[in-house]
Amino acid sequence: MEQDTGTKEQLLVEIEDLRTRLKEAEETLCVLQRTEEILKKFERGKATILDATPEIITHLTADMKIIWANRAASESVDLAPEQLMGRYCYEIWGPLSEPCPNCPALETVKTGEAGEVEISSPDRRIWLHRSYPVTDASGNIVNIVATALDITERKRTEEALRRSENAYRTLSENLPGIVYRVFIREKNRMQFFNKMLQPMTGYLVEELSAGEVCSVEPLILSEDRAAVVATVKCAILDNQPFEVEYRLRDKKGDIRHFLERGKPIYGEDGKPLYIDGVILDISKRKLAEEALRRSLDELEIRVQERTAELSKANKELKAEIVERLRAEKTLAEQSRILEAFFTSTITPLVFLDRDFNFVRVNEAYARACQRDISEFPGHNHFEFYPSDARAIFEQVITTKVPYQAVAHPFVFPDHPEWGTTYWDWTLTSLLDSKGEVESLVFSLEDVTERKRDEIALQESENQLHHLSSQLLVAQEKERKRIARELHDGLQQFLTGIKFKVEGFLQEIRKSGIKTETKPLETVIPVIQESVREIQRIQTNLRPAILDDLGILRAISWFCREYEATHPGIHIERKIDIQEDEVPEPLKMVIYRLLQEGLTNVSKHSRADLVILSFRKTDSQIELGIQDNGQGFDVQEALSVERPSRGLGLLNMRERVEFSGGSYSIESIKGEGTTIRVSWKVCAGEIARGL
Amino acid sequence: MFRILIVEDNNFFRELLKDTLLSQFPSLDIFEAADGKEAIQKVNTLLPDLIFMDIRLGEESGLKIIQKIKAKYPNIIIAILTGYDLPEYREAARQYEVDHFLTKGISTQEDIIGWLESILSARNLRMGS
Repeated sequence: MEQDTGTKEQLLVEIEDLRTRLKEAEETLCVLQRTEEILKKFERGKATILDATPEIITHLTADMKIIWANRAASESVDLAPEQLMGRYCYEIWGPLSEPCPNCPALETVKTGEAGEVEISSPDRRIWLHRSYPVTDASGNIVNIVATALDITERKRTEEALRRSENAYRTLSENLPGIVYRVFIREKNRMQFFNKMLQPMTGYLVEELSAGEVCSVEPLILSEDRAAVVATVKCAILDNQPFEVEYRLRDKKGDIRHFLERGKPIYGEDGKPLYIDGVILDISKRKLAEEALRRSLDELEIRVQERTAELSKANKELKAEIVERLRAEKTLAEQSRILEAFFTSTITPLVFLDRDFNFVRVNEAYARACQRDISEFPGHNHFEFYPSDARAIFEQVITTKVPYQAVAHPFVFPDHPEWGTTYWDWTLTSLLDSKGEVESLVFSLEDVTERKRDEIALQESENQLHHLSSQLLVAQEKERKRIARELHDGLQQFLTGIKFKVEGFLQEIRKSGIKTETKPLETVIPVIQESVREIQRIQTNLRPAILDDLGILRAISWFCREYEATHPGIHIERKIDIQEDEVPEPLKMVIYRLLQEGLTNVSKHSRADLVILSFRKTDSQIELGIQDNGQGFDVQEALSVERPSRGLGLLNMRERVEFSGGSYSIESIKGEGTTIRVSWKVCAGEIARGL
Repeated sequence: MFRILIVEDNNFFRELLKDTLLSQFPSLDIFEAADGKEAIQKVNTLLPDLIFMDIRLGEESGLKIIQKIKAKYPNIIIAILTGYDLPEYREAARQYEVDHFLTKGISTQEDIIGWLESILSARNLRMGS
């Protein structure tokens, strides 16, 4: 019993346990049912999700048979999902007969690890294949989930990005400027993306110190720095790109010109994060600009100058055009006038070619030659009128210098009865554009009458001159003759009478006869006085001392007498010649010159000193009469209005010229007058004299 | 015998002087010459003791003749006859070593005779001594 009881109780326990278990099973089943429902829901949801994704998703067996595939998978091969089930994936997407060698699912099967690989399809698309193991509770791989995603675009984008990055890097490294980023929120820490800082500034990054906007800023010249800081700060505030130029002193101390372009980058919080930018060395450009500016300035100046020149040239050209038009008009007018002049002038005119052939003659020329005007062209000038002027004509051709003949004699071979005619003529060459003589203009003036008158006048003057000379000679001769008559005749007779009277008185005294002799004695002084008077007259005519003692003592006597007569005038004598050095015929001339010259001094000069010089040099005899008087106008004195002094001067000059000497007179008002006379003394000496 | 040569181109004056001298000194040998050539000739032939020489003989200079005579016969006494008693004439006379200076028309007969007497007296004294 107790066993039964025990068994019963055990059974009850077991039943109760079974009941509990059943209940639990029911509860579990319920849970399972709910779970299944949930799972089904989930499965449907999952399928929906998996169908929605563009990625190809397949559920494969370990040997690559398709258990499930999403819509993307079926659409990728244009098959219904049911058609994919149970088929090998590599048959569908290969199509291959065996798995792809680099399929990541194979690795996953082997390793139990998820795999991933990129595979290019024949249509050049790139796929990202992933595989995930599906394990059982024991961890054994039961299935594989394989996915394939078309990453062609992504890869292309990535490639483009990579290339862009490479390009950017290359660009950055090769950019001839500093590429930087300023971290605004990190006290303007500056990061440089290339290695241009040192080449451009000489500084290393470590050597830079922080500035208001960047760490390059402290290097900027103080004159430019404020503007740079202001520009950058404004750009940050306005979130705008900026561009700024400044000068920077590099480590060597050289000034460099930099151009900086930058842009502030803002964070998602709407605040500036950093500034990205580039700094370019534009020193060369600046220098070039400066050079260009100078060049432009210079060019501008040159342009202005050239413009001014052109303007001036233009004005001149305009003026020249006006002038030329005027000149052409004038020329045309002159041509008409010249033609009229040529035909109607009374001046004989001839055009000759360079061989002296007549080209054209005017009426006046034809008339002068008593030929018809048509007779000349075609004939040579010297064929009609041979003359010694041919050499002159040829000379004009050679030298191109005009020739002027004055009163050139010419006998017309066809009119010898006209006798010698005289012509003033001019021969002028006309040159062609090369400067060669093209033709000749021969203009003439018949001066026969004038010349004949001149010849007659000259002859008359010569005769007058001769007569004048003869007159002076005759005068001197006559004076000499009268003086001699007085000396030899009257003076001798008076002297004889005096001797007789003296002898008679002597005899009376000796005889002792007492008689009145006084009246006779008084005769003697009368006779002596008469002798002196005769001597005075004789001296005036021709001083006997000149013939008796010569010119030097005559000068001595004359000067002494002159000073006695004119006590206010002193004569300083400078005699440096011997008596026998003075040609005899010249002595009277010299005496007369001295007489005339000193008479003029006393009459007109108001001088108190006369320097009389008389000397002989190697080649000539010179006489000088110089006074310190008031001087006079020589031309005026020689004019007809002042005959008295003029005649004296002319008389002196005539005497000198007739005696073969040279005469000059120089007078300065207030300073005195100097007369200089000279005679050349040759071996034959001076023959003439007056 | 004291010989005198009068050289004078004026016949009237030459004769008058000769007559005057002879009237005072009849014993003198007085010769005449009318020009320089004749004078030189007579000086050479007659060797006069004294010569009255006119300063001008036509176109000839009496002084030049005196120069020639004095060069050859320095002891012959020579009186020059001039028309002018001027310093230049006297200076010329001295230059040509003329012994006495007589001015025609001015010098008196007494001057001439007095001078000649003094010459003769001196000669006689010398001859006497």
